[in-house]
Amino acid sequence: MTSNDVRDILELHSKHLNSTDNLTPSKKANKPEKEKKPDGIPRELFQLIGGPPPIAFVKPAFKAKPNLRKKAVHWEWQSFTNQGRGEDDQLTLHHWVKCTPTSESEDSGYWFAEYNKKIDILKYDDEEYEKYLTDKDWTKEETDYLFKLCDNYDLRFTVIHDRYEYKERSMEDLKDRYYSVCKKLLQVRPPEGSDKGALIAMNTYDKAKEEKRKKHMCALYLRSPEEIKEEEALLEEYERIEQNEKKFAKERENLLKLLSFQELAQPKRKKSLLSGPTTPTMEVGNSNFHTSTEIPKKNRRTSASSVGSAVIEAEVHNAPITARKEKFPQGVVVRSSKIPLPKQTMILKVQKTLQEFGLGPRPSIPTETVCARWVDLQKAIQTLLDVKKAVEKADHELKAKKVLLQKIKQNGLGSASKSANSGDAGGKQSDVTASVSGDGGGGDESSVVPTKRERITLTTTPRDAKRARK
Amino acid sequence: MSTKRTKGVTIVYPIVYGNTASLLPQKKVPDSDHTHKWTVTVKGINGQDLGHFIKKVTFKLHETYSNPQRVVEHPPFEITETGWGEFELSIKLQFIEGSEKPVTLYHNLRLHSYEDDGSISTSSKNKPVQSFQYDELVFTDPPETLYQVLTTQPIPTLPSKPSNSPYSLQAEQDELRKIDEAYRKVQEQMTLYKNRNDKITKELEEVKAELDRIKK
Repeated sequence: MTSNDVRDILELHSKHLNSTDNLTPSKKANKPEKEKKPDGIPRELFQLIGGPPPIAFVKPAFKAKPNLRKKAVHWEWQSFTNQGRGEDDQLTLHHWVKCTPTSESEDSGYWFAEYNKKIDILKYDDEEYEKYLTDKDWTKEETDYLFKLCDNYDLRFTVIHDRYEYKERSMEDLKDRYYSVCKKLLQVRPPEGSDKGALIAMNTYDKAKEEKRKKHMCALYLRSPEEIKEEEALLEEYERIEQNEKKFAKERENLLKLLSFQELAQPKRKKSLLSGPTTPTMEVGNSNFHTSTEIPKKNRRTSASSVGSAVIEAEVHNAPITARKEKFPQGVVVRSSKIPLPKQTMILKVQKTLQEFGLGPRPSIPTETVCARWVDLQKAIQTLLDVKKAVEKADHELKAKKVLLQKIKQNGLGSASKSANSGDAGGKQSDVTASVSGDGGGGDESSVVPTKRERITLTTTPRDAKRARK
Repeated sequence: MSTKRTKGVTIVYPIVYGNTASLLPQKKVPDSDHTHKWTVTVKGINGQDLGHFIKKVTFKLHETYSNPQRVVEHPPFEITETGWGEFELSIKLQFIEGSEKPVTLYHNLRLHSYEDDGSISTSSKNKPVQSFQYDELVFTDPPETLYQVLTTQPIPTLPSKPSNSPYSLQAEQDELRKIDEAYRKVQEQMTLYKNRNDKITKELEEVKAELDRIKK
């Protein structure tokens, strides 16, 4: 037990003057140089070499041992001919062939010859050519030449186009001619039983389209990296817009609803009381001429452009009732189960509002008229609650802005611009909702951190900004 | 399917379903904890039975009852039982025409009479407790068999004045009136809020303009 150990245990640490921090183990601070020397080698040698080299990572490669168990296989040097070559060609080649007891006798066929597939292209005779295949741009000679090449080169048009020596023609020209000839022949020749329509479809070649496509491919390939980046950014923007589309559509709908509710005034009330109770008797839906004329009027009512004339609105109020008759699916339905429920979040609030009017969660006598009115009422309550919320929000905003304005006026313009910046920066659209809280919110971009007293503002969503701008 | 549907025809049949409950005199069954006797029924609004177009009715009671699924295949479609607790039971109506899907009604069994605010009334428990619900079965494009049956037998209509049943045309009118009243109030509030909204937006514009001015 050295004194160092004792000090360590008692956590006294070193009395060395050059130890900077009491908490760091003194050994490291004082003796960076000395490394523990390994026991195997003499000290001087160690000091020369510098210790064992660091371990290099060598991936353990699996080395298969050669399989020395089996006896050597006998191989034979054999000659063969390739059936894939032409018939006149009798080139004999040689190769090593394994001699196994099951191997066949020599030259049973070159095993790669089966891959020499030949495409059977259509052939026409002169008569057919005269009748169907003449073209002002192509002589018979040239067409024959093209077909010969197609046959030789197995319809590989890149090769054909390269070897084409008749006239100056583009690959699309050649393809066009070939496919139109084939199509004509197929159409004209007697049906072969199998799917002729499919064959014809396979042989249609749209030259203009192909040329365009190839040009487009070239352009695509030759884009510079900046262009590629630009295009990707645009795509992203587009996707984001698509996603927000739904949100915007909803807001638009809300706005329209609010506006339309504004315009439905008193005359509507009187007419609705006159339309009387409908007794539950048999009703034949299609003989009612009201439905056909009034459904389009119903649409007019829901659009914001409805004119406030009493007549149209009076008639329109009947439309929802008669039009709704059509809406039940085939089969039996219990009337009260068909009342649409409001949104999940709103259910309780709507019920509470209904309670305030002395109505339960469902109508007690759900006849047709009652149900229709009930649904209208529910919708109206929902819209009212929405409007309430919007108004409250706008109110808050207004209050916050007022407070801000006051502060600015009190503190003078100097520091005011800073706090105005901090207020404006929240949300980047210069809108704020007032809620007194300690944290600065996500969008607070001002580099100057305002004092806690002035930091009243928080970020808002773009939606609130829209509402405020309304 | 062999049965054709009569297109463009909608038949509405009003029904009433619910339960009555009465307190059991205590002496009869002292050791069972059943305190009430109740009957759940499904009928037409004037008490008519629905056997001409309903094939069978399945009442699904609380699982603590033995055979909680009670099937009644001939009118009157009702179940009488004893018990101590209130629960929700389902009533599935199956029609004589098999191709029509059965409809399910839900009913909260009521044994105790309640005050208006929902608390159990402690006054005289001698009168039987009743809890019924009016509803309408809407047959859209009914198949032939149902069509025949429903057109030959007269469909009950709501009586104009309430007699022994609380469901009548007058009640319907009352309800409509209430709904319209509520609707009117909602409209009023809406206009109020709209005005407020306009005022607020105007003020907001002004304040924003001032702030902008100060910023510059």
